[in-house]
Amino acid sequence: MGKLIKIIGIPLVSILLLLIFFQQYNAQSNSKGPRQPVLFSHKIHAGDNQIPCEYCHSYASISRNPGIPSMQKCMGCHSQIAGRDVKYDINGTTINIKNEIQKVRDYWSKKQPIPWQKVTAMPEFVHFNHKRHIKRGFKCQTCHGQVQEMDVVYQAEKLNMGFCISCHEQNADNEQHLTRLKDCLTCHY
Amino acid sequence: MSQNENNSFTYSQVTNDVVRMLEKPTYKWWALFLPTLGFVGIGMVCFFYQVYTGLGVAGYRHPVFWGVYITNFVFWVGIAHSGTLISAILYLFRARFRMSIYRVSEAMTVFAVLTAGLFPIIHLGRAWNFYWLFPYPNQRELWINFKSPLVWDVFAVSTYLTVSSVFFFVGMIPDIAAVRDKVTAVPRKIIYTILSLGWKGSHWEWLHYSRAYLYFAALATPLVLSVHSVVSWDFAMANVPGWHSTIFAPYFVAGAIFSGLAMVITLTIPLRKIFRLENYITMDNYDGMAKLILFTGGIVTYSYATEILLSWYTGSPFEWGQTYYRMTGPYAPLFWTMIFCNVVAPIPLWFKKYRSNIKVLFIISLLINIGMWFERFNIITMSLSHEFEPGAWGIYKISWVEAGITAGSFAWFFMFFLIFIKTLPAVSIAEIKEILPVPKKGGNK
Amino acid sequence: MSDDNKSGLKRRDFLKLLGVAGTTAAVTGGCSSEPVNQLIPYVIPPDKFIPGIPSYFASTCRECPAGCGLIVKNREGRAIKVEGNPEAPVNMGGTCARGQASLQGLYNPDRIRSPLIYKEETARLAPVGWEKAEKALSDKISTLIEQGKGDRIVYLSNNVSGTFRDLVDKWLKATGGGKHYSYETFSHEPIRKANEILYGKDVIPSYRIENADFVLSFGADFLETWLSPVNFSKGFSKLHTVKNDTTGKVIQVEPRMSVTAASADKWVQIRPGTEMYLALGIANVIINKGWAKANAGLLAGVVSTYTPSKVSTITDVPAETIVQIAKGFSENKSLAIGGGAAYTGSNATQTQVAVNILNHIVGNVGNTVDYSDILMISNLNSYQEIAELVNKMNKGEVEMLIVHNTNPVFTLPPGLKVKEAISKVTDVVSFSSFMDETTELASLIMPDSTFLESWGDYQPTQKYVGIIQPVMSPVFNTKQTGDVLLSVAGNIDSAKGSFEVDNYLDYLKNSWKKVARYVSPGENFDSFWKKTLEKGGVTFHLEPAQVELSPSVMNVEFDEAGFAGNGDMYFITYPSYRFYDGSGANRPWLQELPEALSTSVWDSFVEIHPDTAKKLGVRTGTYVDIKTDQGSIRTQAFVYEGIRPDTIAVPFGLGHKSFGRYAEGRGVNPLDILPASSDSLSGGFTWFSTKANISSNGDYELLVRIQYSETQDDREVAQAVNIKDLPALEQDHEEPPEFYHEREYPTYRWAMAIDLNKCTGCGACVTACFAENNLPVVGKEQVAKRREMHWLRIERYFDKDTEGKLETKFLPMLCQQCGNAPCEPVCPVYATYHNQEGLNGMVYNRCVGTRYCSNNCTYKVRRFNWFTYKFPEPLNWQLNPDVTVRTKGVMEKCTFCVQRIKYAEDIAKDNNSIVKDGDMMTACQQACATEAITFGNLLEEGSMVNELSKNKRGYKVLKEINTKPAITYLKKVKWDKV
Repeated sequence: MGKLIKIIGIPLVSILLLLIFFQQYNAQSNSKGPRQPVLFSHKIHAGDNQIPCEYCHSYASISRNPGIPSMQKCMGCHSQIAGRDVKYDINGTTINIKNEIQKVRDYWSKKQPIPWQKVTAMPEFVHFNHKRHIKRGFKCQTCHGQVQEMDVVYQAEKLNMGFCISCHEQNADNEQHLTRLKDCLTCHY
Repeated sequence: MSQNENNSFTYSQVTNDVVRMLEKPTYKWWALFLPTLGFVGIGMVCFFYQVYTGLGVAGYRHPVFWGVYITNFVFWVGIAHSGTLISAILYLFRARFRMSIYRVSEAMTVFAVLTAGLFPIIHLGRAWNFYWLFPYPNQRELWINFKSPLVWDVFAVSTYLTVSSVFFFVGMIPDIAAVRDKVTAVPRKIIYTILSLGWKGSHWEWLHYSRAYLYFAALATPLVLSVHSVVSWDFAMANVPGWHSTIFAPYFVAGAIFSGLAMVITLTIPLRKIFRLENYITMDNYDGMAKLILFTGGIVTYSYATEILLSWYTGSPFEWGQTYYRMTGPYAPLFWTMIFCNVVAPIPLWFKKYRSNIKVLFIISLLINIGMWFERFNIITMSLSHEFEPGAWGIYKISWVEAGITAGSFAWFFMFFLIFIKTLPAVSIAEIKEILPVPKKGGNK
Repeated sequence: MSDDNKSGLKRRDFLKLLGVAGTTAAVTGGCSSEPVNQLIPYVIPPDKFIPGIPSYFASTCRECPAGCGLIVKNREGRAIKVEGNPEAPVNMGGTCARGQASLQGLYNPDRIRSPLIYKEETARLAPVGWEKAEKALSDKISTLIEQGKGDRIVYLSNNVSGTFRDLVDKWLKATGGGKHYSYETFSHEPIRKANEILYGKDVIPSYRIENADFVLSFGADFLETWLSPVNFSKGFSKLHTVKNDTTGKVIQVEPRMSVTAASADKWVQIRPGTEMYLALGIANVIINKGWAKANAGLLAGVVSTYTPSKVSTITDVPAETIVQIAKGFSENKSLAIGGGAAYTGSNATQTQVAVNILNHIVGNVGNTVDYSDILMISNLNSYQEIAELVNKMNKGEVEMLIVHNTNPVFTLPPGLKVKEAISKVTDVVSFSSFMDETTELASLIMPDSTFLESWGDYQPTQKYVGIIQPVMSPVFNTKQTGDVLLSVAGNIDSAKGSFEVDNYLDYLKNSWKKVARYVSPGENFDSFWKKTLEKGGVTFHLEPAQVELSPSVMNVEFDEAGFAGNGDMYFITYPSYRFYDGSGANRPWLQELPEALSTSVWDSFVEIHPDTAKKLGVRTGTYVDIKTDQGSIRTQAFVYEGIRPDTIAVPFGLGHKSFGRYAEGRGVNPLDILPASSDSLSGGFTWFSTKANISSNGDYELLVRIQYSETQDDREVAQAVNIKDLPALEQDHEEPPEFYHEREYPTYRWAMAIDLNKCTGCGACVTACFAENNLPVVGKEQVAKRREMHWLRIERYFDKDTEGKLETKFLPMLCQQCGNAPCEPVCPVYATYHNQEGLNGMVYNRCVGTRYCSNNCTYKVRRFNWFTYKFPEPLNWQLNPDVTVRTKGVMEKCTFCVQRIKYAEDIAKDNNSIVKDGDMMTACQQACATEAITFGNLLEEGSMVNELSKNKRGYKVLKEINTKPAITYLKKVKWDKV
């Protein structure tokens, strides 16, 4: 009898484990963002100072691309705000806020763009439209995580297809809408 | 088994004869084995080159998107069939002539399926994604399309592989045990001991064993029909003129057995020569197979005739255009080769004189193998190169990569076969013994 | 894009910044599979650019003298697509294949990337900075001026008009009075001369095909290259519209079947060089039968001797046909035009006179022939004048030759010894963007920016001036010639004063201030300028011109065409609509676009009649040697019945010795074996002036083509209906019973209708598809294996008409988006499937490449990525960011430009509505100049496609397979007599 359990049990258990693995596949991705040329803190801007996301990422609601702020936009404030000459701990590295802002000003005076490191990666065959989602009333945080609490921004969600689909399923108004939201051509073309 | 009775020989003799085959490989064996390995290597190189550069290195072109690879796939699945037929169906029918050859043909089945299974993967544009064809739960919530005959293939082939290999192994247990008792060398002894699953040959074991074997035979039998029917539906389900036909399933099954038997003959004749098994694989065996070949060959011929007749009778410009193209188009030579090999070549077998002539048998079996390969090539490639749209007609030429991989696949098959005859009893000791006269007291004088 | 000084930043500069920003944007769009890991922000955000949203610039095409208006689509600072400008009267929104491919001129990897100067020591050209280069030029000129040789400067350009012509003349005056020659390979001198003879007007009038319903064309390939092809295509579309069971007619009189002849309603195969007599014969009939409308006056005498019977013997055209044509010509609103081989013989001008006579006697002048709105190529220099220039160079009377956008070494017959002549010139300066045969000879090269990177204006006809504005910052370190000329003048003391501005934009604006005063007096210039830039040009109002028949017509000698050489074959050379004067040869899209009739790609060929071929023992693909007194060329034969047994024809445009990787060493240049002779009256070059001998040593090689089957094997794929049967015609609507339940489409059912009576097989749609959908170009070797990636191909079928004569049908074949698609059920992984809008979705990233779908596709419109195809830098800059670039092992196909559909739906959704008819167009539809393609939502009542799919000429290709295609084809209309 014990033999039988072995013979049937072992394969069953392994299959079960496999299933669990696949289900758990959209786990949180690692919470470490790339190091930026200017150690910019979203926490200070979006969090402490309550600057709305779309103030800088101003195209999010009118275009598929959210856009990143121009140097001019940065200087809009930082021509005045020189920053306090204080130490600040940003994910372990201690920086001086004044110096960081000075970096931005240097780039501006050189009329050079800051080569930011890309944080949120999306494969080229996926066509994500920011406008649609913002207009539907989704918070940026839904996909990008609690950015206002991140000093160094990292990709909070493992934005894989399962993530998109499950959200689309939850937000479909009716059967017809669901088919449209689950239509491959919605994102892949 | 008349001959056996004449030169009546004892159980021990049988065992010895079979075990003799498993002795240390001779240089002859190596001379065969090493080149085989070489070709397998070539095949692999070609495949990786193809994966790296893209499918363009094969001869494919618009509009012929399937070529030699799928041809090989169908060919090998076909080869596989006769194995199961001989071992399972003939077992159920108690056809005695199968006894000595069924082991070889079973081995052939397993190895052929192993070979066939490679090609659906080789021919993929993105071979590294082949596992997408299996239904497995995934976060993307994607599933496979059960409407697609290719998915049916996946199941058909994998089922066939499992069943046939289990059947193959079960059939061998007593023989392995016999070998175990014979061999002395340590590593082999251990291996055979494990493989024989502690077989003692007690009456109780024999009782259950024969039952189990019977059930497996019964289980394997429907596969002979189902698997190749499914394969044929890859084509019959499509709307390509020359594919879209209802007779495909029986036509393919018959064709499969036809080619399979031919392959058995092609394999056993040299085997029997090399290992001096004339007493075991006798002319009766060949006679039986030759008759089966005549039968299945008849069905194949009939199918050809039906196809041609119907394509004319439908009056559809596409169907008739296809047939006419086959007979007169750039591929015509291949078509007529096929007709010759599958329709004309077997005719001599109607006469006992030729059925009992090893040389004739061997040549005919070779011709049939060739003919059946071309049949698949004709069906697949020709149909595609001459479809509905006159603007999109074009012919396909095989490339060296495809040739390499094809050669590799044959090598792959023979590699297994060579290893098999040196490691496992190629003739069923147990069943031969069953049909020997019971030994008299004090042994045969 | 008008106001330049906003945000204290020159427009050019922020286009540059855009260029930077664009880099990442477009890359993320997917020209490579490697992920991008940097984001480059704008330093200063351009007010009109929003990433992800295209911006459009109106400009004017300079690929040929026609000067069509363009709208160029720009994404993140890069031009990615060219469309026709509906506002421009020339093309009214249409484009041709060459126009579409102008982007590949812009992004061509073989462009000259910086100024080059000839270094004595190394004896080769070396790159220099612009200052150095300009300095070098100005120094040379100054020395010339000092030596008093300033008048020995020659500025040789292609057809330039408007401000730039004026600038060049001013500039030459300032630098000592050199001479400006402007030359086009096809400059139509005979038309001008003939008009001078008849009416004393040395001009090319506008031909109004749209106002005619009976066009009689003597070899004029007006749908390919002749004068203004896109404009004529628009006209053709109007003329070929089927209204109350009838339609206009085109009679093409030509020794060979050109693409135009293939789309014409009747192709009259005439003995080469005798078109003149046919025209006179027709005129004779019209006058004698009293059908003439205008007062023929003295013309009666001119044509009196040309009776139908006599003409018929000369021309091989049956007498009754002549009478029929005469009847139709006089009864309908007609138009007679002459071109091609017909008017490039030794009697070219006489032929054109005869054509003019036809137009005159039926009173077409003022109706379909418009002498007020003349074409501006009327003030080109004739071939004769260029020949004299070459002589001068030979005599060493030219000190400096400045070549601009023209390639005389390639486009002039070797008999002229242009190359030798140029080498005799001390300083050769080239402004060319490409290293072509002429530029090779230059000692100083200052690469011009392409018209897509430059400011300017161009006047195609009297009536309209188009604006040329930069649609992106220069791709390479190039400078537009206008700026160069001005800054060079600035370096020369004697010339300093003559220009008040130092850059061409200001110069342009100044000259447009005059235009503004003329067109909209009192309006403030900036707003006018802004408007003009948005519209793309200005249209003037013209008074209709009156013409007076001049007696000089009496002394025209109608002598027959003479032919050099003692060959037994008439040798015709015609401009390929793909390469025009050869300038298209370095565009991969055009190379891979099949020549409509032979469907040959990437190479030259010679058209031979089957009988001749049999005599010669050659078949399609066999190499044939064509010999004349000037030399011989060797190319592959294309055997078909579209040419007379006594005639052979070779297309012009290939055979470059140097013009970049795509053009070099491909095909032959038929010009090499033409004598340097000119038509005595007009001084135009005689393209059709020699006979040739053909021989073959039987060498055979596959003539690489897109389609190898000539006939449609009675499969009724491309269908036609006889005009007589139109009234009784009805579309077969009945559908076979369905086993499964019918599909439901909630909002949209995207569908298309293609009118075969309008399709001319010009290939604009194919090229547009390449541009829009990132289709790779695979090259000759792969096309030979039939691996071309055309999502949309134009099938060409040769059928026989009632008289057993050749009848060509074109069938644009693309994915039919079947409602009952064979490809869908067979895909094991759902990579292709049917969506709720009626599209056959193709999910590239899901495809594993079993290719079963394509096997099962009835129409064979799917393409497979046999390799990962390369887009050599910077051609990849053109890639459409909205379309995934496919990699090896993936199936791909047309999805009705789904990216455009999605974009339109997105916009519609913003206004809580759905996409309405006309909100979006597919790329092919937008490009089609004859409006043969209509696209829209079948469910929308009253939408054009909804109407057309019910049209009685409508049919589905291979209906019997019951695939329920979304594309309805409208049968071509046939006439069995003129």
